[in-house]
Amino acid sequence: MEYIATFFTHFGANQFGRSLKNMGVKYRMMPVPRKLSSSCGTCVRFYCNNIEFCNNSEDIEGLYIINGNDYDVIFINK
Amino acid sequence: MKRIYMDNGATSFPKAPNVAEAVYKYITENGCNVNRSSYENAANAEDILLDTRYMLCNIFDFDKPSNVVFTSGITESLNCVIKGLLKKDDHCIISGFEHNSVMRPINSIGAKWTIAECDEYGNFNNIENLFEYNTKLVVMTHSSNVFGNVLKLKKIGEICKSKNIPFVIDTAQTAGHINVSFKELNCDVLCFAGHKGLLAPQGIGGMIMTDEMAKLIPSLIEGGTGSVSHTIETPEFMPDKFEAGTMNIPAIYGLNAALKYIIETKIENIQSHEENMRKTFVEGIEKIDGFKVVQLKNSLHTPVVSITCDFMDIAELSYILESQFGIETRCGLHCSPYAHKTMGTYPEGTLRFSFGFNTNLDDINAVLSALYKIKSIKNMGV
Repeated sequence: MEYIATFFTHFGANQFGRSLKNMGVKYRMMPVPRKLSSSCGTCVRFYCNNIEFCNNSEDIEGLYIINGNDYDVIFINK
Repeated sequence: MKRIYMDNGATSFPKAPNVAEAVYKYITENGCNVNRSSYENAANAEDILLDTRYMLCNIFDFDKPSNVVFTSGITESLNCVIKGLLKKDDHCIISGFEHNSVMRPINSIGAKWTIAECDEYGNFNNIENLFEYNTKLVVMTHSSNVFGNVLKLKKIGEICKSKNIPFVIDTAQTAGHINVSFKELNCDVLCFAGHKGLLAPQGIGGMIMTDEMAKLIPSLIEGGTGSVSHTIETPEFMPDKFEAGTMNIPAIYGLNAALKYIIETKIENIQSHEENMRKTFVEGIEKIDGFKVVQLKNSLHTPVVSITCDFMDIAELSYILESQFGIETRCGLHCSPYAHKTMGTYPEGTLRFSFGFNTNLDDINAVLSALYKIKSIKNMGV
């Protein structure tokens, strides 16, 4: 499955990208889709079968599964 | 004539191996800004920045890479922290060895200061009595840029912690030369220079701070951060709060390469080599009449030695060393008038020799030989 994670900070996105790299998960940085945020930010787009590890990340603002042209919310941290 | 560089206290030369190559490769092969766009090359540059923050955590014994902030240099770091924590008529405590990068911001704010005096062994006495009702900051250099003595700051950090007063350390002359531990020093903010002992290019430095300080200190420079762009307010989160505008990314690539080299080489090995050079130099110079090493009776020094000369103006001496022997030194007050006042060398100043990891015994012997020749020629009345 393909996901998008958005972050509270750019630093958080970089940290998350680094942890994916260490886990051997294929990912790319990309601009946050405008549907998700009007703030200019970077999100991480990645393929993964098990996203449980995302639950422990304090950096993630929102996790979405890519569904065609839409982004279905998995969770949003406030 | 071989060039002998003895001015590493001003800036290190040569830089660490691979620094120039790293800067060149960034400029010619990557060239992207960071925290703005999100394509792969930009992400690669961002990864180098993150990697550099992690290595700085390693070097300074610190746990939170998001609180490692890049600035244009340690002068900007100190300005940001001092101007953020002090206002007119506040009181602060400093050492008697401060550089003007500390003194001038304090003075321009209109804050008051008290110098914590130390004895001939570098021991501070009665620090607790120096705190006043309006003391808002203790800021001290970790080592004198003129005399090389490493200040005994651990205890001061403990006192500041007990009084809940921010303790800021200027590591311009210690980072990369000796081990510097944020935790052991009990500091709240540690400011560092990239281009001295860390062997990176000029134009990069930074500051490392606790979460509490990150909240308390306002940003000195505001502008684009590439984050929360829908608002006109500077973000409060780290490190964006203190990193508005485009950073000196080429220099950060250089710092990255330099830190890899330092971590591989180990600071203990750098310190041991530099201390050998310093000791050999001090022992050698004490055998030549007419020169006096000015130093505290302190067991720990960075590789910096200041001398006075009783038969010649030190500016003339510096000139002869350079023009006739290729030896590059710095004479005068070294931007630290208070350090000279403390050691009794104000206003004449001293001639400073500052070594680096690249300094070898041949260099030391060449300098000693040159000083001996200058003294001998003077004795002959030439």
